[in-house]
Amino acid sequence: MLDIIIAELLLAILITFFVGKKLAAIIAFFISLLPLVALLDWASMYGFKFISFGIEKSMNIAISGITLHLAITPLSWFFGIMIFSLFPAIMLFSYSFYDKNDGFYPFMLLALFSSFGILLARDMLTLFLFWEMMSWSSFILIYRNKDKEATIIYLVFSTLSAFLIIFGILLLYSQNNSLLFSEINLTPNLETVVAIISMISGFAVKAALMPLHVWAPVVYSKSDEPFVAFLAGGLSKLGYYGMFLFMFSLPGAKIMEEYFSHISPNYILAVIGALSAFIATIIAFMQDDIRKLLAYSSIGQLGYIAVGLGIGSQLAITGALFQAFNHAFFKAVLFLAAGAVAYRTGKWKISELGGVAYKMPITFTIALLSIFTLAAIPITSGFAAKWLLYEAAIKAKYIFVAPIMLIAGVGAFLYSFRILYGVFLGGNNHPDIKEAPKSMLAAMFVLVLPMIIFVIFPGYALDMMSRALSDAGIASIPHTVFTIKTSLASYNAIAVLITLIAALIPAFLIYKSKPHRIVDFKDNYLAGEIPSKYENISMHAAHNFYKPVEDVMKPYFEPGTIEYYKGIYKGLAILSNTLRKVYTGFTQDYAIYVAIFLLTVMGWLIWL
Amino acid sequence: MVVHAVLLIAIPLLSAFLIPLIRKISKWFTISILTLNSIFSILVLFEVYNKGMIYEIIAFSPPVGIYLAIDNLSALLALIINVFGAINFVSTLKEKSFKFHMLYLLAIAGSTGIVITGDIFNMFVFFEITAVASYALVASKKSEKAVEGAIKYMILGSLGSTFILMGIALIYSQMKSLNIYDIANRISMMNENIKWISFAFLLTGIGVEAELFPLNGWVPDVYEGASSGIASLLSFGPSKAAIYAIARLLIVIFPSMHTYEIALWIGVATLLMGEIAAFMQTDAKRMLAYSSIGQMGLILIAFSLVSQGIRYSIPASFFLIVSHASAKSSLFLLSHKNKMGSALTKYGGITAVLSLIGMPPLAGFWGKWYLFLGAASEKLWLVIILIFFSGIIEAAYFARYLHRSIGEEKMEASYAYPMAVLSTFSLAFGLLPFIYKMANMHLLGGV
Repeated sequence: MLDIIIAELLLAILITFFVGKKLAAIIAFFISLLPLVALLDWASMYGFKFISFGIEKSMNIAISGITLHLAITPLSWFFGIMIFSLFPAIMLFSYSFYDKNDGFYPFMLLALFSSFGILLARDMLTLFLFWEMMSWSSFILIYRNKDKEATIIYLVFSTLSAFLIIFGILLLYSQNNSLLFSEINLTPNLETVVAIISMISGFAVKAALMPLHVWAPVVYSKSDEPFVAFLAGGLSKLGYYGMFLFMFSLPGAKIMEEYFSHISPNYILAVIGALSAFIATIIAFMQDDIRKLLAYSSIGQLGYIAVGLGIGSQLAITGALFQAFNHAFFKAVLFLAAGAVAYRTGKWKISELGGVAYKMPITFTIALLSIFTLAAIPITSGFAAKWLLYEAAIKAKYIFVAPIMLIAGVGAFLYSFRILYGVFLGGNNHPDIKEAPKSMLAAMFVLVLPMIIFVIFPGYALDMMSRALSDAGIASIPHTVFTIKTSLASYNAIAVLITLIAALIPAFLIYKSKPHRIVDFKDNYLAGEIPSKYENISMHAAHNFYKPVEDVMKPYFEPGTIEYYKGIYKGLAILSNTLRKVYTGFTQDYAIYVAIFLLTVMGWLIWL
Repeated sequence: MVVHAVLLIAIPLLSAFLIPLIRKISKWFTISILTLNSIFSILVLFEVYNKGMIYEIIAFSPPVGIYLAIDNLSALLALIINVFGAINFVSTLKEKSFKFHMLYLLAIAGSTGIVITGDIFNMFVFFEITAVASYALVASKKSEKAVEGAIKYMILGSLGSTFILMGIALIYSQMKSLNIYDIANRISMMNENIKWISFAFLLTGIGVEAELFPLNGWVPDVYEGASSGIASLLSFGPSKAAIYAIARLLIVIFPSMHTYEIALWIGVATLLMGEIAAFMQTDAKRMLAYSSIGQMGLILIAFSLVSQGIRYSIPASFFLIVSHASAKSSLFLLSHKNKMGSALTKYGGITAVLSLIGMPPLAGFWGKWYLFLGAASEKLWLVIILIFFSGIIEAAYFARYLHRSIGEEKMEASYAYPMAVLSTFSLAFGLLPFIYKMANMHLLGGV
């Protein structure tokens, strides 16, 4: 059965190359449901029974003299549910987004296929092989947008990521003489620790953790939205999947703690995660391009997951998985919503948009829900996740990490507000646009559903996670369907929700009982003054939105990290131009090289 | 069906000399000879695949006659040279001159000869045939740059040939034999110093053809000057034959820790030099030429890891050779226009680049994978890190190259089709277990 699924995926990749855009979208949509079907079938591991085709749980494929070991584990199941829920929605969205079939669907399906392989991989070669396949399929999806910087930076960082990972694989392989996860025994010695650190850094490139994140803003802002939704929602999670695999499924985190007596890399990872969350958040609210804003927001939100993995306690890891789960959905929705807005208005700059909510109310509502989750407003599942992380940091006495995370959490409000106000509310700058096409709305709606469900039932999310964690030998947090209990407090989603509604009802009644008028946006902005002299100036609410904060903060964030990488690039360029001078173009020089070479080899062999 | 492997050399060699007599139909004659030879090379490959190494003695007993020793890698290379040669010939169909066809056949015959001969002097002769044909083929474009490249190539090439001859003379003076396997069996009887001196001469001489640093001064100029079809021919023909000759030298005749070590560090130097020089190169053909140098370094590193990591380094060299031969020749054909306008050229160009960078499931991935495993089993972490470093540089300039090749301009079908077919080889050889199986049997005469 599994082989049939794999064959169908491969066949669909081939077919979608050659068919028209509508048919390709339809094929891609149905094919992208396949992994989800398989995952639901495998849900029997959790005691659920949705469907049962009896798809086998493991399979070995032999190619090129090598056996690829595939099998499902609870951890992959959890990450799979999160990643493969995105694909059908993305295909649905793309149905109206693209007006021709120029390679999006086949390579998107290839990315899906390789994600499937990464999650099922049970040996390091399979993991690496599919990891690379995903890298190049997403590279081609970026390449087809014809942006030079994005093309180069993505391929370079993918290669860097691949080499860091393969370096770790080689070190582990030379220790254990096996590539199978089940046959790897980690012992606390230098090679193992270097291997684990190298792998974590490799996966961190894809997870866009600072300072390896520089590709993300460039690529996110230069690619198509449906693909970026996968990049931010899915691909980054695969990076964290890899980290989780080598830190907890294989006990890398424990080994590192044993090896380093004082400051372990785990702690450094937590600090990097917190700093990533903090710095990216501040940079995010200084962005005027909505894609860049969302990109930095992604980097920031993903930083929280790294904090969770770094702390490594039961609470922290649960919080990290919860955060990953939320992020997959809300960031995908936000990117798709930005795509929908751009599809109708053709604009990316927040200061040029505004008032979209009046014309695209459904898009607005969906985006609003995800912004709530993003900003971790209580009652949303985003709050539950971050609350677990804060508590974990406080309990672990990470006095540096906890406050920084908290500040970053507040910062998330600031940039969320910039999107809400600048894009959706404010002056009605777009009187003649329409609501997004139905397929786009359907796509966004499907993705917003998990957020609504887990608002009320955080227990269900914890159920899934506790199974994933039990695989790594971590006990689950005590919880019921509505309540999460930790040693410091307990969080009951339904109680908070009821309180909130109870508080809102009087407010609503007061609002209804008094006569009110709608204040025009310009009245508000100009404090009631009638602009006579400056009638023609462009008045946009979101222009220079956080200018005072920007003026203060900007100097601290310059030069950006990317400038350092550009410095390396320039250094290499100088090296290249210098070394190239060896090829002088004069044959007599080359002849001398030949003579020197001959004498060197002779001398080396005779005298050494 | 038993094919006499000697036909692989004899047919193109004799037909090349026949061509002046049938100038009018020389193009069709060449095509049919190349096709015939491709079929023979496939048959020979199957024979080696099924029965193991072929030894063949023609006419007289050695050293007078021709002695052939075909192992799995030489059979594979013979296949690459002949089949790719036939495919690549499509791109040069516009050439009307019978001299061109004659030289093309000579280059193919010479390269094939280098890989299948078991006699060190014959190897030298085939080197000369290949080299002379290549000089003329490069110059056949008749542009200033082509002639300049050809002259540089000729000067360095003749220097190299002289060294090869001196190395052979030294060996012969000691062993009184020219048979590679005969020499290999009795190499311990040789005077230590003369052994190393002859090795140095042979390595230097063959290294000029194999584009090793610092013997490769001719490479950028030649690839830049030559027409696309010829640059492509040079990248899968003579250079691959030469690196195979070095492998024989290294693994069969002079196996020792010292030679492996030297080869390893020459390989690393070649790799780094090629990749770093390619990094800032803006001219596409020169960039591909430098990149070729880098890849040859990688192949040499693979060959030099045979002492501990032989289980991995031989498959690595097989995959790297296949990947480089198919991908680089495809890219040289693309460099004719350097714009990927049609779907076919896009497919060809992107597949080739991905294979060179080492993306699965293409042949280049398996090459690098096995190379890393081989280096890891010798615990050469520094070498691994240097290969990573060069790999990242490679990714950067190939990404830039891909970006630059975006364009609507369409290439002629005579370039687009061979290009796509050549690229497909790196896909096919990556997916099929064939190469790996080949690599795991009786290599280079039972090492």
